[in-house]
Amino acid sequence: MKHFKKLIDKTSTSLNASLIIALLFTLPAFIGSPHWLSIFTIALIWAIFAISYDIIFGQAGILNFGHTAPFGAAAFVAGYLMYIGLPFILALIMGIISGIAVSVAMGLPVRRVRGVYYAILTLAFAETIRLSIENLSRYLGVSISVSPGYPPIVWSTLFYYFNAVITVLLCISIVLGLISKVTSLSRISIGDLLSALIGVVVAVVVSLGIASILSGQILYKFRIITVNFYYLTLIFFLLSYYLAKRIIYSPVGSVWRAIRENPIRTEVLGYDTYTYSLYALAVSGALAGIAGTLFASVTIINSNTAFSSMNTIIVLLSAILGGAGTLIGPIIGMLIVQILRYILASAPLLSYASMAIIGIIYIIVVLIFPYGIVGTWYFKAIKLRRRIMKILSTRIK
Amino acid sequence: MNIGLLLSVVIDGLAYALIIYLIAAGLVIIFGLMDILNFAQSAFFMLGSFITIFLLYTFTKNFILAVLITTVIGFIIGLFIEIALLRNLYGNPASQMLITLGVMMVIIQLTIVFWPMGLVFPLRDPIFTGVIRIYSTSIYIYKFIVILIGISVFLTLHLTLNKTLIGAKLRAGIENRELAEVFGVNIKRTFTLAFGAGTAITFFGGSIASPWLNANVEIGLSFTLLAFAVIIIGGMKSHTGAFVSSLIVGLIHQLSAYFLPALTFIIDIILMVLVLLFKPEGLFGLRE
Repeated sequence: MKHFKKLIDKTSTSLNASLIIALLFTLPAFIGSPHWLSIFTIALIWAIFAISYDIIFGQAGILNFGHTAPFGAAAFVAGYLMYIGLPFILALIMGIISGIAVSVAMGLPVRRVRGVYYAILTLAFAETIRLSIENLSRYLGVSISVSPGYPPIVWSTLFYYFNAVITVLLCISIVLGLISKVTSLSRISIGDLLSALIGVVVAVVVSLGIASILSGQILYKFRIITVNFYYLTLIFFLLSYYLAKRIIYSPVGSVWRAIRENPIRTEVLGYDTYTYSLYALAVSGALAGIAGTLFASVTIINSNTAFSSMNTIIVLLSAILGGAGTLIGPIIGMLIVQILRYILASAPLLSYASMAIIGIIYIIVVLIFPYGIVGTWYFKAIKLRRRIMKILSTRIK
Repeated sequence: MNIGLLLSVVIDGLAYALIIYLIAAGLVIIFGLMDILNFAQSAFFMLGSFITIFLLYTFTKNFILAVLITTVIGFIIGLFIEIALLRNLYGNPASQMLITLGVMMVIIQLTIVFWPMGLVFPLRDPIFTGVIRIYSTSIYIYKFIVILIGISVFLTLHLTLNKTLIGAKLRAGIENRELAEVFGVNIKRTFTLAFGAGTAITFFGGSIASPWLNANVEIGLSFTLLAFAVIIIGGMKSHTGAFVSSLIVGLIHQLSAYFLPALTFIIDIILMVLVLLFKPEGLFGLRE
């Protein structure tokens, strides 16, 4: 009984997280067409890339314009290994290793070269790789590209039901969390009522989704590989987010933020800023490696898709759009950018101008919300919370 | 190797170098005064060549008139961008740089929408298509004209910066912004003027290059890196440095394109990386 109470307490504190995760897990049940599920999957892969960019740009404050290099290197390495038939997990590990290697190699001059200069240097680094591959393929007379397709795990029914079980567990934890929340309250405030209400609604929605998943109804809409690849991406996305969050709120993360705010003072305080910068680059290279490996499964990898500076521009843009340094901001920004891109691309008149429109939105965001959507929300939220607290201080007795 | 080929390569390299210089000059002026690394510069260059050729197709058959109109349009666009976008973000160079990145994206994507296949220079006058034969190698006359125009732009800018009042104000702003403001330089107007002038020079460069390189989207992109390499090698705030290093980079680029085609661009970038690693302030830059 004591253990049970402990478990309930734990689920109560992580209620919000499990609500969102459960919704993400049941998303396929509520999406109409396979097209949109694939788009959302690709958006999630890009979101992993956005997390990795937020660690160097948002946390450590290193302006890196060549972040497509570790991403592309991982995509090439992992894509090729998957193509010759290595298991996915091995390809993933090699992808991560190559991502770290490229990212750290790019970071070696960070001691001497800073700021704008480092931005140009990294841009040049990524472009050099891209142009070398292009020149090499022109020299050899073959196009250097690799497209391994989905990893074999997406064909397994077992993996599908594994995810269904996870969803069920999440739903149970939501219910437990709700129960403990309601029972542990001595007095009820409007905020608690509201969150409990949202929890109940989400629980109902999620259980509807679970019914659809467990009965196999969604397999009439999608092929099993589409759904399974979505789950694979989602699992890696959640893992990356968790990892990034743990590192950011660890002592290393606070040193990164200190470097971002004032590198000289951090150095004087006795931290080796160079090594810590390399740590940031290594972590973000690893995450970029995960994103690159998953990216290799959905696209043809060649010099243009893997090493194009447009990748860096898109990830930088979404970091600014969502709010650099907030971790959740770049993810939201990236989801907005990717989904907007496809909406605009399918619109009749705007189809070719989609990136231009995103660029205009980006300029407006930089002008009006310099901290991005989430960053501005945080600043506003502090004021909002104070105001709401004032109103709520007269509690319902 | 015959001497004609070498001469042709050198002329080609010089012409290429002076076109890079026309992009880099704008970059140096803008970075020197405002600390903004203007990513939109190569997009401006590309837009300049598109506008010139578009004018030649629709409005006039006179190349000089088209170049003049393009330069004026460029100046107006520069003023507009400075006043509408950058002025709100003074004191925040990082955001200004990100704005120029957005401007670059918008310009390039809109250009792709309007002219997806690029534009071909329409005029077929002997001055654009004629060749000179030296040692059995034929060299386009227009390349000599590009070289002459580039050098005269350099001399004009050099004299403007060193001998006129506006130049003195600009140099004061580059040396020490706050002090210049204290001594009565209207720094905001100087910023606007400098951004407009930098943009106009780049548009001019694009339209001068259009008879040779025509107009397509890739050209602007491939010049971005070269222009960045030039300003890093020359020193980010030095106008003379930009000129000399664009000669170096242009010559090396064309020489490697002729003799080591597999290493084009890569040699330039390696040169830039070496300068960054061993002399980060550039060959002509002042040590801070």
